[in-house]
Amino acid sequence: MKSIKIIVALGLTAALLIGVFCIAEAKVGDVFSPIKARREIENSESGLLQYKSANNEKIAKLNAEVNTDEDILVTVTFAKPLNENQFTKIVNDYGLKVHHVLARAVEKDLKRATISLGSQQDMLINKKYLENSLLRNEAKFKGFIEVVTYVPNKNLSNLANDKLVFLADLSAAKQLTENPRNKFMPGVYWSLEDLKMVIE
Amino acid sequence: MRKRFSIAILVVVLSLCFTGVCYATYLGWAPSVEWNTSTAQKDFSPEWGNTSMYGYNSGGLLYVDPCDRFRWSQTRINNLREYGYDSFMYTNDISVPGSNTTISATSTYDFYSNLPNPYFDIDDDPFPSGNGYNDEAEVTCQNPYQLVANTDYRFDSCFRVYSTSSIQFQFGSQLSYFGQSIDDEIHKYRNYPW
Repeated sequence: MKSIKIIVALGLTAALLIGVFCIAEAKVGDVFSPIKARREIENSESGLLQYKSANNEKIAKLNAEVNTDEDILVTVTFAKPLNENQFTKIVNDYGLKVHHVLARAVEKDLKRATISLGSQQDMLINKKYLENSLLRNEAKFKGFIEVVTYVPNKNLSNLANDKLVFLADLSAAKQLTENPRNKFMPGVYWSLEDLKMVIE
Repeated sequence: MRKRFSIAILVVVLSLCFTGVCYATYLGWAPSVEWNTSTAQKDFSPEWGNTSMYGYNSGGLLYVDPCDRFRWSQTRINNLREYGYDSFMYTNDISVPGSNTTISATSTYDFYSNLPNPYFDIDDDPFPSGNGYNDEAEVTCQNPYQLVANTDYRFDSCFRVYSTSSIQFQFGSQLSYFGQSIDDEIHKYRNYPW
């Protein structure tokens, strides 16, 4: 009788451990991985347009389910390189709280260069880093191509539908995925260039 | 009187020299230092690189931009591609090594790179919980098929400096699997101030 109790106890303990392990595995598997998420977008014109359409459906669903004032983390890919005035207008029009912005530059041998500029309390763009990096790499500034930002839920649809915006990707938003290390979804501007989808 | 005046002049001159020496150690450009296959032995690492650092003051705060220039041979680019385009990628990493609990320098989100389709990231080492400070800056090339052999690739980072006593920066390469490092090596250590 005593040995049966021990076997049952051991069995229950093993089942419990297996259960905990499975839950932990499932959680690890669900954590947002930026590179993996980017890989899932098909690199073709139809693939990108299909992804954009599915993303806009997610935006509509989120709009209905989440408080209108709640901030949503998005990676915005612009439809073309924006100058400073165009970029600033978008930030002001949609109440963006910018984390960092990506700029396109071109080097002397025409290689594409990407510059990331963190937003600081007293300035939207770190102009000193922009100037320093362009100077030391002998690169020419083309414009702002992507921004990682928080946007109020109420402005998300309008931002996504702005004619200067190709995609407002909410894959990294905490409302949709587990993202404990606050990683950001990569933009798709490089693919827009490769596929000649940048607008004039 | 004349002797006193001479001593005063000497003190002023020495002070100016000392100030100059101090500033020269953490402002402006540090000398370039190369690395090569002696520390780039992994089959995914570029064979050659050149490190430099640029220190400056902005708005009363100190910053340093550690920069890495590097080149692959066609053989190593082929190795990278053979690992598997969909999941394995090259990452260039600049970080403050160790798991210090005191703050010395933290990565900002300011970067420059001419790698094809780059993804910039900062991290708080050690993985997974970190020590509270973003001590790692990295760029991942999302498309190894667009890498060209013997081409000058660049990664410039930027760290806010909190202590000028002594900070070591390490320049290295990683092979990442869906963004998670699975193999790495250090090419060069550089000291700040220099």
